Parts: sequence; structure tokens; C-alpha cells
Amino acid sequence: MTTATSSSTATTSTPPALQRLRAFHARAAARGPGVAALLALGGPPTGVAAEPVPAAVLADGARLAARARAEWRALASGQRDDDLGVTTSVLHALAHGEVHEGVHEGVHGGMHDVVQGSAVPGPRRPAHDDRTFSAHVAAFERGRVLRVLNFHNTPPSRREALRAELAAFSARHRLWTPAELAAVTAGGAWPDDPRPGALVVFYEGYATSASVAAPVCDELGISAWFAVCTGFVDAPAAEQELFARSHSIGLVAEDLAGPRLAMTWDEVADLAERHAVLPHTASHAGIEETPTDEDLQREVLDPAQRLRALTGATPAAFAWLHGSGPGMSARHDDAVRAAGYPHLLSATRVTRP
Amino acid sequence: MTGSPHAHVALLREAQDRALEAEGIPMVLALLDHRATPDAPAVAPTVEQEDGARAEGERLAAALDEVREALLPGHRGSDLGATTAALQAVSYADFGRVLDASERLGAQR
Repeated sequence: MTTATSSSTATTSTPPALQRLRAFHARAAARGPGVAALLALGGPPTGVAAEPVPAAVLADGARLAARARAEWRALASGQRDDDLGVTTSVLHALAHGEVHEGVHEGVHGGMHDVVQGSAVPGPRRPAHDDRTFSAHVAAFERGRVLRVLNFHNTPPSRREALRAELAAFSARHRLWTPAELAAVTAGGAWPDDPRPGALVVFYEGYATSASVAAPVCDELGISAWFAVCTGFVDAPAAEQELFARSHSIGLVAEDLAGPRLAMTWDEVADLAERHAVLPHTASHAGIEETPTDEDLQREVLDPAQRLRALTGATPAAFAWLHGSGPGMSARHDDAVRAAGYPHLLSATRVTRP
Repeated sequence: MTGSPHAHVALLREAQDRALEAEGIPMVLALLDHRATPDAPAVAPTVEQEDGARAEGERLAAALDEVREALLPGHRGSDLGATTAALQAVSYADFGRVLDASERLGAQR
């Protein structure tokens, strides 16, 4: 019996796209470095005349679309177009190459691993279904793409590494504010900046979001997005480890060294003065964990009210556990809409509910 | 959060720190039958089997109550995540006892 080859032992025969996918997962498993994502950006509501998309944005989108197709050919040519898991993996590999390996330097630099002759899937679902790989690529081609650098744990020992990572990322990207995102998704003007649009997102509401991530962002002049599990913040300090371990909130050894694992509400309020704060449900819940109206009230509606009361503004977005997007459940989509969130941030898309 | 963690917290940490991709993850599952009129068993258990199963179930239920009370005294009953965490700790403890038994068997060979 052979053992699996890890990313650190990838051989030269491993296709570059697969190496990128492995590297993506290695970064995610390390629970410290930023993990890149590429999101298809939702368009304006039907019937709304959108402002023209800047030429540079269209060119960037077209390049990304071509690279996405190449990545699909290399990784997934036999897979279904409507397999969202596969689409997510292909976009993970692509995003890793773009953000962490500099494959963005030239489209040809990322094309050498194309498997010639393999098919890029065509649409097999209704045109309005934007969960397919084809729909994601089509959005990219229209310039509807947003880069994201996702963080979870930001332990103190990685402070300098975080600073270097954020400095490099923010130099190459225009970090959008909630108002800029809302303008673009509503069909309004794009930020007047030649750099691609991007978000830096810190998930869960760890204490180190306030003690490490936010100070580094502030020093760099970066406006970030903090996706907070409101129930984690609400939990008594003595029960926060149990809350985390009960709700898929990953911990690193340094987290356990502090007096608390989650931010306080005062820290969340302080963050909200300079950054976007949004709910990541109350209990780090996914769609499958919220079958009842009571669950939806607790996980979707109440967190909106809680942050609205804290900050005086409706949170700019909402994010489910696992990055689930719209179209999975009408009841859940209705709840997100009823809570008033202007955007749903998912693993592969950002949409207006 | 500093100092020696509570014994149940330590147990849960150990249970959750197992490597999913390489190690077995023990779990005790509740057996439920949601059918309105369950079929009669093809082979009825003996009284001894029923008593044994019930005693085993009662032992695990008591362990689950103990862990839940220690770790999550105020937890919402419908919080499946919290229930799962408590079951993970109980299952890992139960798994440890199985290991002890096999080690004893190994020592006898």
C-alpha cells in the first residue's frame, strides 16, 4: 500500500495545476497564512442599466477566464460543469497561482499545463443557474470578478508574516470598502483604480482578529472585512473553547494561551469604526444546520440585528459556514434577504440576495 | 484558559486532534427507528442480550451526561454541534477502553 503524496513532496511529474491545488490546501491547513479565492461578482438587478465596465477590468476578467478554462482542462476535464465542488477546487488552484505564485504575471506563464484537446464544459443547466463552472467563467469574462484573501487564525507569532503578506497584497489590489462593493453590484461606477478589486477577510471573530489582525491592518492603512460568529463572541470565556470545538472553529496552540478565544463586543464595535464587520452566522452554522425557523432566526436574522444595534448600520454582507451560496434553499435565501444583508459572500461568488 | 485544562476539555482536545486523513475517528451513534410500525426483528434478542445492550447504553448515556454537564452546562439542547462534541469525547474515552482491552489481549499472547 502506498501513501499519499503531500504537497511538500510533489514530484516534477505532478501537473502544475494540481501542485497549485495542493499548495492551496496546505496553506488552508496551516491555519495562519492567507488563502486566496476568486469570486464571481454578481451583477446589478435585472432591468438596471449598469455603468460600463472599465477596459482594464474586462481585460483582467478575460485573462482570468482563459486561465480558469486552462485550469479546468488540466484538473477536471472529465467532471460535470454543475459540480460546484469541482468548480471550487479549480478556482482554488487558479486563485493560488494568481495571488501566491505570481502566475498572473503573464497568461502564457499559466498555460503550459493545458491538456490539449480536452473539453471545457459547456452549460448543461439553465442559463439563470450561476452555480456552474461555465457561469463563473462567463462572469469573469464580463469583468465580474473579485479577489479575496481569506484568513482564519492570526496568531501573534505570525504578526510579521501577516504584515508582509498584507502589504504585498494591498500593493497589488484595490481593497474595496462595503460602499464600493455595493456600487459595483448595483450597476454603479467601479472604483477609479487600475488595480484589481479585492477583499481581505478575517473569519470567525477570534480574539487575535482584534489583537493581531486589526492592528496590522491599521498600521498598513488597510480596510478589512471581519466575518464574526456572533455566538462565539457571546460565549463566556470559559466556554469559548468548547464553543469553538463544537462549531468547527479551528484552533491553534497559541489561541489556547490567551484568556479568551473570541473578541469582546467592545472590540467588535471598535473594529467596526474602521473596518467592515459582518455576521458569519451565530454558531458557525451551515445551511444543513439550520432547518427550522428558530434556527434561521438565531443564525441569520438575530446576528444582523445585533450588529445593526452595535454599529448603527446594516452589515455589508453575510456568510454561511462552508461558503454556501444562493440557490441551495429558497427558505435560506429568503432569510438572508429578510435580514437585509446587501450581499451574500460565498466560496465562489458574491451576490445580491 | 491557562494552566492545566479540565480533564474533559483535555479529552475533547485529544479526540478532535486526531488526524482525519490518517487515523481512525471513533464515534458512538444513537440507533433510532423513525418508522411508525417497525418490523419485528427476524431473530429476537435474548433477555441476556437485551440486558447487556441496555446496560451498555446506560453506561454511555451516563458518560454523555457527565461530559455534557462538565463541558457545556448551559448548552442549548438543539445545538447539534455541542451534542456532537460531547459524543466525540465520550466516544474517544470508550475507544480508549477498547484499546486497553486489545493491549491486554496482546500481552496475553
